[in-house]
Amino acid sequence: MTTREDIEDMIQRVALHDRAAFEALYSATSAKLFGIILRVLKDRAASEDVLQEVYLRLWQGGAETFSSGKASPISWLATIARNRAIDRLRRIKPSRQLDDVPEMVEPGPGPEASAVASSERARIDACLDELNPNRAAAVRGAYLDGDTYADLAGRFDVPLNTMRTWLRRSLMSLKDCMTR
Amino acid sequence: MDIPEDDFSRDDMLAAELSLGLLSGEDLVQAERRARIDRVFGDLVEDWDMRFAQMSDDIAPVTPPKGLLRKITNEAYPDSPKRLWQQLGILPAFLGAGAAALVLFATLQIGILMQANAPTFEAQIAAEDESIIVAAAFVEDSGVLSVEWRVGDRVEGRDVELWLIADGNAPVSLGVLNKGTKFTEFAISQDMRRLLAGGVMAVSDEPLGGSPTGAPTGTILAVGQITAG
Repeated sequence: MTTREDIEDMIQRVALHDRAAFEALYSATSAKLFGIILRVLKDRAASEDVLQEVYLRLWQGGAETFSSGKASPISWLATIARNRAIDRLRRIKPSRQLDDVPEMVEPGPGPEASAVASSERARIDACLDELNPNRAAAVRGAYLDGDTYADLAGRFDVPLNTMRTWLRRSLMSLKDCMTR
Repeated sequence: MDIPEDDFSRDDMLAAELSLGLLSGEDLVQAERRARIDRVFGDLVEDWDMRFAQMSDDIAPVTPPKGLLRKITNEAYPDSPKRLWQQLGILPAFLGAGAAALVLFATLQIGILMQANAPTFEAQIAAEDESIIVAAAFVEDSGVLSVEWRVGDRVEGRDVELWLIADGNAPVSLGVLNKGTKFTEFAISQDMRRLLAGGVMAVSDEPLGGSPTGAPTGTILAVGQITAG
């Protein structure tokens, strides 16, 4: 089983251009990251492109920006994957109606997911559940569908400033709850 | 709950908004710039990244297609001309959804353009705060200087002109950078080629069509040393 320490170690060795570590990191984490990218983009070919970008970027200096001890390595990788996927989504979004895309079925986590599970797991879910359901949906929509304030204001049919005030309050509550 | 209006809370909320990707337009550009140069703010963004990343915990892994690792290592390993380009991008991996991927995307594109020939000379022309980064590479065989506008906003109604400054001489114009695309190619004459070694490249802000005088008239936006490829 791949532990958090293993992955941290791999990232640090990737920063030193250790090819074996790079391939080991890919084999331990690519399925998780591909799952995240696919969830955001819902398009296999584009997701493969983005996954490729993510690992190339790690090899080309990205791994050096990881500070161990501070961030969970898998959360760190997940953030990069999600951000790059959202970037790609925004480039293609105008030509695409996200609402027309059916939600993907999300089966339970496989062995790889549990291998890299975060100790913080589900904490954010519990905290999001404490929010007004619309606002929790807005936070989730922003994270996984790349919704901006402008998108969310349109979807919930409220003025942009109202949406901003709502969400800022929700984010404050979320932080309070998660650091409780 | 009321939002406290102290500076920390305001920054913390902005960091959350950047991390989550709620910002757009000028707000996004400003916040990303700040995350690059303001360490404390960057850390706040990273803290939020870690909080939000938990939302991806429950996403099921999907095994990527078999050949993908091979494709990645082919790009990453061989000591191909591409490697030089790839080293030029100096952006932290930790940015909210934004500019970093665009830079990488551009790198891959120019990587393909550059595949056949290794550059003889290259330059990274960067503003001090890295708000503008332009990469240039000259390939001897073709006599072509390829220039990529990598980071920075172009100003409406103005042009950016590229200059070669050789050994204390006055700047010589290489031409105006394209606006619609990040890439511009210049054919470099034999005489000019001799000036590249040890020279400096710079880009300046100029009226449309370039400097009317033949010398830079506007602000020098970024400067970079030319190095052997």
